[in-house]
Amino acid sequence: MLISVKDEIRIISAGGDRMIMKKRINSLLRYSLFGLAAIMSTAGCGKMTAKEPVTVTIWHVYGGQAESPLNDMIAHFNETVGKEKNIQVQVGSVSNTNTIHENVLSSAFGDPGAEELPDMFVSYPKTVLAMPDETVLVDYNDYFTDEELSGFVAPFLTEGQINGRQLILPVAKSTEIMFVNETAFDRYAKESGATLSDLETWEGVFRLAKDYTEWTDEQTPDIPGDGKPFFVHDYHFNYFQVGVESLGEQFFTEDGTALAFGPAFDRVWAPYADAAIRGGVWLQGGYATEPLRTGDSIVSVASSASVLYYSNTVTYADNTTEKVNIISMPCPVFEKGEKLVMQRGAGICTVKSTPDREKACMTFLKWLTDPERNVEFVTQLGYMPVKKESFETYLPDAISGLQDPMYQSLYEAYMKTQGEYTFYTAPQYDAYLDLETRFEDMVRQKLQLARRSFAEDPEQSPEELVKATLENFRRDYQQ
Amino acid sequence: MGRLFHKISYSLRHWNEVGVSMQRKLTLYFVCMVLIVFAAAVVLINTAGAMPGSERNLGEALTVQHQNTVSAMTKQIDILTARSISLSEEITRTMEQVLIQHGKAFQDANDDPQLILDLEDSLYGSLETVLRSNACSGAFFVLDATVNSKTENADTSRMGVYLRFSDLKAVGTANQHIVYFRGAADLARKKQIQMHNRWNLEFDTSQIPCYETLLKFNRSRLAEGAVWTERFRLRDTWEDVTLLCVPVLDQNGVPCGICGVELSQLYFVLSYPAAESRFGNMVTLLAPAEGKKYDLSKAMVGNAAGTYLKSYGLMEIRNGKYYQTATTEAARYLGLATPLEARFSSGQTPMVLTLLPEDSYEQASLKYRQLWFLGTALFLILILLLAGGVSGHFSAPIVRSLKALQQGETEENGVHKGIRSGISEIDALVSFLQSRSQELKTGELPPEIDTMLREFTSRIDRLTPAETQIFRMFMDGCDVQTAAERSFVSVATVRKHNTSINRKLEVSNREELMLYIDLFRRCGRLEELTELTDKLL
Repeated sequence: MLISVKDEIRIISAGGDRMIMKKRINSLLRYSLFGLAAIMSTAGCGKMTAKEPVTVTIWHVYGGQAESPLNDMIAHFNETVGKEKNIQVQVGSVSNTNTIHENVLSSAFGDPGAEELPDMFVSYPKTVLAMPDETVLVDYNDYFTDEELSGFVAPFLTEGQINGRQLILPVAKSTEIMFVNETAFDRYAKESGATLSDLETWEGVFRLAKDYTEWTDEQTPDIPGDGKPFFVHDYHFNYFQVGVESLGEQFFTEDGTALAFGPAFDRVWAPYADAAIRGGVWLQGGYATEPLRTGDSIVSVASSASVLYYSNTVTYADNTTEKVNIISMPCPVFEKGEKLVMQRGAGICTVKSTPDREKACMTFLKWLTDPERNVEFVTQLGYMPVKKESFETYLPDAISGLQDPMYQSLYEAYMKTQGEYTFYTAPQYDAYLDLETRFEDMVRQKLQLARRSFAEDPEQSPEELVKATLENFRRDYQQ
Repeated sequence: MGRLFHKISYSLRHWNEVGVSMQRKLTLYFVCMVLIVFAAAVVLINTAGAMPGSERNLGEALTVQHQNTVSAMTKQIDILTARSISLSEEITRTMEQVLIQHGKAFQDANDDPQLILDLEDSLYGSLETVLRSNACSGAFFVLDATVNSKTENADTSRMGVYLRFSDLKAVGTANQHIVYFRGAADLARKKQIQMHNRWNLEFDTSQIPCYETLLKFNRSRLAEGAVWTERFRLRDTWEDVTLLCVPVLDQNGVPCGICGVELSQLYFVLSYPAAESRFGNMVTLLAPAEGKKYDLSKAMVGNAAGTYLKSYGLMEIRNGKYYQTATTEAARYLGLATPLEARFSSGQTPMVLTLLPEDSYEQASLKYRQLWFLGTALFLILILLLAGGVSGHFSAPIVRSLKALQQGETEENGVHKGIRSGISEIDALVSFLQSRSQELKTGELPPEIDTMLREFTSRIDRLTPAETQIFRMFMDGCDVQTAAERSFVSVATVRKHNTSINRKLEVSNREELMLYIDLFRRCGRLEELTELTDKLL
């Protein structure tokens, strides 16, 4: 059917309108799409919020059961640099060197009930050597530039190198120091004529040890045989190792799998065993701080870092307390031996994980080992810093600023040691840990038996008992 | 804005008159249908609270974690309380035996180091058992006697033994090391236990918040005397602890001490690790509540990895629909709080809290929104493409058919070439139009068209010469601007002439005028117009 003209004209005239309408419809469609896109794009918007921090964990030994300066420093890091770089360091454990060693190995071996290894942990080389797979640890060469590493005292770095990889980053170094309850010593010295200079040699220490035991026994005439030990050593193994080496002899065999037991060993054994058999040396387990804390001993040799754990209060068995003065002296040496002293101090290992976590750990460690901060850290704990600039620029001022007399005395002894002694670093033998553990357990046990035997029969010849005990010990140890 | 609205509504009302292409219309219909279904689905999901990243989702996630935590903590508290009560009873029994052996009463223990040592020695085993077999970091007992009543601090110095783990683990093992924090030194040496670096012979009861209160305990059931201390710092150490204390009674039922277990802050961190969720890490707290306020310095805070939650400062809680909001000085947290069935020595209610940083939730939400946006955008693009394709496929044969008709393609015998669209109505229309077209080609103009053109022509002589000149330019295809330039007049003048032309020729606008001109051209009668206008010029 044809459309009418009017319709056609209307269509024609509507054609113009149609064109306009088409344009309007197209515009409408364009605006609608644009509006929809704008609305949908706002769905993807939101305010910028803070990212979750990267949290890394650390096990350390700096503080033990007392105040923990490292915990305080970590808290400071978290509030400052950590917040800025979105890092939080969390302390997973604060223990002691023996405990952390066991726990790290337990975790590394995946023992049932063992915690997962933290991101960072304090370690000695012996711990790393005992791990089943040291490749789980970060090589610090990958994160520290040559320039950064050259800032460390070179031997400290070397100690942390295992199989060519820098696995332990030094953060604090210690040595062995003699701690003396000067108040109790003066009481004894007043009556015996002993002097502190007698404690400069091992011979003097053990001589006084025998005398002190008798003197304390005499203080309670109605209680026979209750003389107290004079001296306690944290690590008997170190006494023997450094003693033998200071007398010019090797302590270990060439291959490091056993002890040499040469003539120097006998020389080191004799005065020590003699004093121990007579009751002058503390032979029970535990750290040297314990008997000094209870007044059961008055002279000890321990790590300089033990200063944090010594207390200037002695609590006796009757609950009376006494404020005492604890002073420090350089470690005794043999009269004809070299002035040699053990250098210790753990470093920090980092466990491989994600790039973010490893980077976070490095940020913290670089912060902690900053020369000035390293001095601030170590002087709260009785350690020495590990950076050259720390020694040259910041340590002298820090020492002069120490308020605690115990710390003042410690650092005086430390500086004297550094000036007059040669530091001895224990060798990194695979069997070192085993040799050390067996030695510590066995020597105490053998001497305790000998002591008991002598106490029961004081008529025995101490010299022969000393020799017999040595033979007994050597035979059983070498089995 | 009003103008825009008017345009939109006018366009929508005249949508059908525009003659939008079939494909476009089909595409639009498809897209609208899908969008409606999509919108309906979104509304449904939103109503059901299943939209990921929603507050309801968060509330559900918090609820699950919180319930698990409350359950675990309740169980732990119950076990510890039961064990502490059992320890108390054991102490009573053992104490009685030792005193009988010594032929003494409990009061005789004062100033008797040997009796005290024997008491501590005999109770040591029970204490170690409690420590090793339970989820705690320490165990202790304190008895109301002192080794030396003449010392300066004899008023607050009391005998007892306090054992703690030196190496804490979340899961206890047999080879965990115990340290001797309080007790006779001889006992530590006898047991070959390492002494704590801050060991002391006796307890300072002024440091134990609930000691004096529990010595006045006078209820019949020991369980009623079990209280927790708020978190406090163990003197001379770096450690914060909370103690569960239960009274110890002598054989006559008179309180003579306390015993219990310790939860250290470090142990709490190990026991309650931060729970990872899709909204962020959730942290567990055990805190004393004072109304809606919590003092975090007295709270036990679990592992806060992934958050900045600190164990100090004040926190205020406000209720919400799906969870509560906790505000500290530094940040806000979202979470839930439930009271625990236990008592603090301060009288405040212990609350278990599960908290998640608000920042973490907002980050997670943002991520979901972004994914949602991306997914929706991709979906819409896909739908558009699909709709375009489907409608194109549907309309292509129809368009081809119409195009063939339009272009007048004929076969050899002069008959129109038809292309079948596959839709019967369209094919019928095309056939009709083809035949009509044939009729038109063989005949004259329809009379109506002829009349229309003649009437238009008759109106031409109404134009003035100037108007005629402009009309001629429009016939030549000039627009207003070009006509103004060629005529050496202004655009406004041309527009004025245009208006007059439209009025006189009885067309509504320039477009309609151009259509007439086009019609004359198509009918081959443009020369008519040219001749007429020449006469007028």
